Amino acid sequence: MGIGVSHFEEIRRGAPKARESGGPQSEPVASPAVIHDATLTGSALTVIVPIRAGEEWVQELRKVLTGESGESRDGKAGKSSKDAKAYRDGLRKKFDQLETVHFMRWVILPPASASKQSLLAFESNYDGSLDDHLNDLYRIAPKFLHDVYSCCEGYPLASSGFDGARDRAAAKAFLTKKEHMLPYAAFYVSRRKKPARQIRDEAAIHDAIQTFLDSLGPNPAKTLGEADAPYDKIIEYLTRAKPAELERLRNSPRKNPHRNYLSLGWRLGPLALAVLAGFVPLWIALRRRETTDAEDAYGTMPAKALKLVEREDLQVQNQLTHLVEVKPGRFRLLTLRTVLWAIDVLARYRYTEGDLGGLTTIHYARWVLIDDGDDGKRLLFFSNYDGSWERYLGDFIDQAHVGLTGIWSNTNGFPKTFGLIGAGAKDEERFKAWTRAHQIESDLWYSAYGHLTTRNVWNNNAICDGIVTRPATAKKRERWLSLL
Amino acid sequence: MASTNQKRLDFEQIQGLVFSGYPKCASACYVLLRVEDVAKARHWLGTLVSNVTFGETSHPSSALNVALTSSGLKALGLDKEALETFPLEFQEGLAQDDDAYRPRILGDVGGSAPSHWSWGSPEKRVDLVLMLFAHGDTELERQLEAHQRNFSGALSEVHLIRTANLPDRREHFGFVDGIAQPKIQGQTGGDQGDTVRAGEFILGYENEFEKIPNAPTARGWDLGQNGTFMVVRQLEQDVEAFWQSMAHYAREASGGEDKVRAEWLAAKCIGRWPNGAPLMKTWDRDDPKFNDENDFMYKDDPDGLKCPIGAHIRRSNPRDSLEPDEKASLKATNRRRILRRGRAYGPPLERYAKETSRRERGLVFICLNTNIRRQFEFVQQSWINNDKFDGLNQDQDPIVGDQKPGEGSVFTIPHHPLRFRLPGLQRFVHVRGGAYFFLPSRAALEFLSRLEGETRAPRIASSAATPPMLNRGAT
Repeated sequence: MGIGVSHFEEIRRGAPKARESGGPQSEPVASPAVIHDATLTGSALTVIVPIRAGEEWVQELRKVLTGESGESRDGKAGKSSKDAKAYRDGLRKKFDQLETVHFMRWVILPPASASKQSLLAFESNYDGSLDDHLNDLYRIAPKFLHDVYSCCEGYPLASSGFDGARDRAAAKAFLTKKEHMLPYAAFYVSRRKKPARQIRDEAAIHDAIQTFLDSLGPNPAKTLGEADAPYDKIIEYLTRAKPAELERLRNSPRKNPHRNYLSLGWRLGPLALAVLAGFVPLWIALRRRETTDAEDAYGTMPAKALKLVEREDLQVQNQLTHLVEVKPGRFRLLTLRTVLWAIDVLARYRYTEGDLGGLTTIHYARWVLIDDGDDGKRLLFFSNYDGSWERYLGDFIDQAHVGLTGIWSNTNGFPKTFGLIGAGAKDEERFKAWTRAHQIESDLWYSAYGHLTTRNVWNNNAICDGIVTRPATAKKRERWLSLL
Repeated sequence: MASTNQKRLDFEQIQGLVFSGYPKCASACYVLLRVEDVAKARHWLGTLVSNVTFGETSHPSSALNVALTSSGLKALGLDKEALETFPLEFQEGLAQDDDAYRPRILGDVGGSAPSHWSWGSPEKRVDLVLMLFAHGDTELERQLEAHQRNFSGALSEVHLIRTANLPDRREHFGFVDGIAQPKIQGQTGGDQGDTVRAGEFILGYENEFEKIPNAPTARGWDLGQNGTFMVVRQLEQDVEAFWQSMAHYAREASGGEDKVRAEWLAAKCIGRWPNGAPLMKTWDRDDPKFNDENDFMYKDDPDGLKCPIGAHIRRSNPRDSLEPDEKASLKATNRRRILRRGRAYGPPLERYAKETSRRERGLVFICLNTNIRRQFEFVQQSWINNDKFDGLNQDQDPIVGDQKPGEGSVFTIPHHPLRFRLPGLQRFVHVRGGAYFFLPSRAALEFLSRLEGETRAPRIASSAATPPMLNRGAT
């Protein structure tokens, strides 16, 4: 029997939380100051580790992550998906106590080839230092993490229980090993993000104001007065009803950084020159490959899409995990690295206002290259976005096909391209079918504010800016009222 | 939008409903059928083809169209391999288990869930719809009876909907309907106004991505060419609840009975005044000068002070108002258009009237598109039922949204100095039935009628078997 089971049963049965925080195996609940380095927000962590050889470990791991048992190895019938849902809800509730997390997910990745093992990928977007983040995770869910990584190769504590600070250090060391903690090749953050805690606080303030206004009937101006008069009345209400929240708001960081074109030019300039200099041979090499590279045969949606959608649109936010082999040969790998590097620079210095080349619905997205040794390389894509998949892919095609074709045209089966960035993703049905075909179901996904879109986050932030600092003129206060 | 390599539309092959809602036909009915005897059904379909209305006739005074669900294609004997070339959403159909994906995204939940439907649910399967149009009720009944005689033994009637002809093209809430319709490129020659590439509405032609859309095939033959997909949803409208709600919110807002405010609120919900004048042209009071006006954009109104962001017409066709900019928005919107061909049904009810025994009334929503997932389902999910549409926080479409049963929804009306907001909005439109249909071309209908089945040898359709009176429907 695998190690995860006791914990699985415990959560499934809805064991009282006290056992986790007060039991002999748990550690003292961390001091309120979980985040020591408050200058860091929304950093990306990617940890990919091989799962122990043998299908039973993959099954075991899937059970720990999803609550679904693929087969009943202990003689019991497979758990109903209702139980599995309750299990996942239990995990989510637990994760809600995390202080550092915006998003995180665990996904079992298929092996690169028959002789290889499956991999477990973890991604998170976190506030504070890496150490703050890992401590936070182990503060809230030590047993869960222990059960997860007990299914993985080389986990030092696999044969023992999880006992306090010493084991936490060993587990952290395992996760942060050089071969496990992968760098991203490109990373996008929708507008330099506020800490997750602040995003939730600001949403609560927004909701409190709306509830207050609703209590005055469909037309609150009738009670609060014309022009900018309602502004002060709303602040008065907050001071009276939400003093603690207001205090926290006043202590939160309020400034947004600005984009830096100078830095952008300085970085992308040399690349542009290099491409120009080598244009003719590069073009010939590229076109030769583009005419012979095979695109995936299907033009229509693979039936697999029907399974993927079952876990989509349960709330406004959605996730995408996508994994595809990089085309063989050094030319494609080098091209891919260059494009990803350029996208990363653009995301860092140009697209900092919540708009990735026209895409406004992405909270966080990243590309990671996985080295499969003699099996070549695979490109992994994680995205946390708003709205339906159909909308997201539609935006890809309508607004951002150039950049995305530039990246994915270097991977297997991608629709035919012209000159690296032409055609490709513009082939709507084929591109969508290709994306679904290489999409992987995320076994466990968590968002700390799943009910908020990027635009909700920014609007709440603007509302709170106007609470912390009183808009100077009556006109500006009226403008602020229109944010509600 | 002009394209140089556009193919001429094959009018003789395309069912007439694509080009016209048949305004001269005041009466119509939809007969929802199930195949009972495969061989007889094929034969019946074969005899029907010559009565089907095709092409761009100049608005006939009588018409007939026919369409099939995926279960209908299967029942007629289309093989699995061919069925699998149809889009997944069509294969699955509109109705699924109540807790499945499609009802969830379309808002077919609570009392509108498929298990409560009058037709189209797995228990009340529909294979085929026969759509009859005539200039008057007497004529319609005559045709209906003849058809009922014809299909008896071959197909059984699951449900029958007779449409209602409300005055001035109005729907039951009292608003002029069907003003904004895209024009099909190539239908009338010129490219005037709101024209969309034919491939958005007819298979076999270039779509807004400048691609020929994927189409179903059978035995290497293009089954989709000149056909399209049709969504039918029977939507019951709770007219009493709608106007009582508006009156209630108006009372709350004004501190007393206020019919003017109630109509203002209703207009804000719709985005037009009852006579059809858009709020973008006249936002605080009705002005008949703008009735039926459709030449407007939203760029002057980013905050929705004239037409609320969440208003029904703004969500169902956002024109230039989506991110990141106007040009991109128009392009994206044109890739999600649908042709609406619906009609009202049931007896009208006066504004603010109360009914002691409630009779069903509403709209048989019918739309045509070549990609149900990208067009109809997208509009329904990402615009209509999306409580985060275009920066909103928790607003659904106030008219047709599902209003999140159990959670409740709100409607925000941006206003100076503070928004109006209608909390606890209830659902006014309930789903009573529906299905996804394939509206085949003439050639595809003939092909389907000649399918060979497990039961009997193929029977070739013969027009001699058609009763002469039915030829009225032919073009």
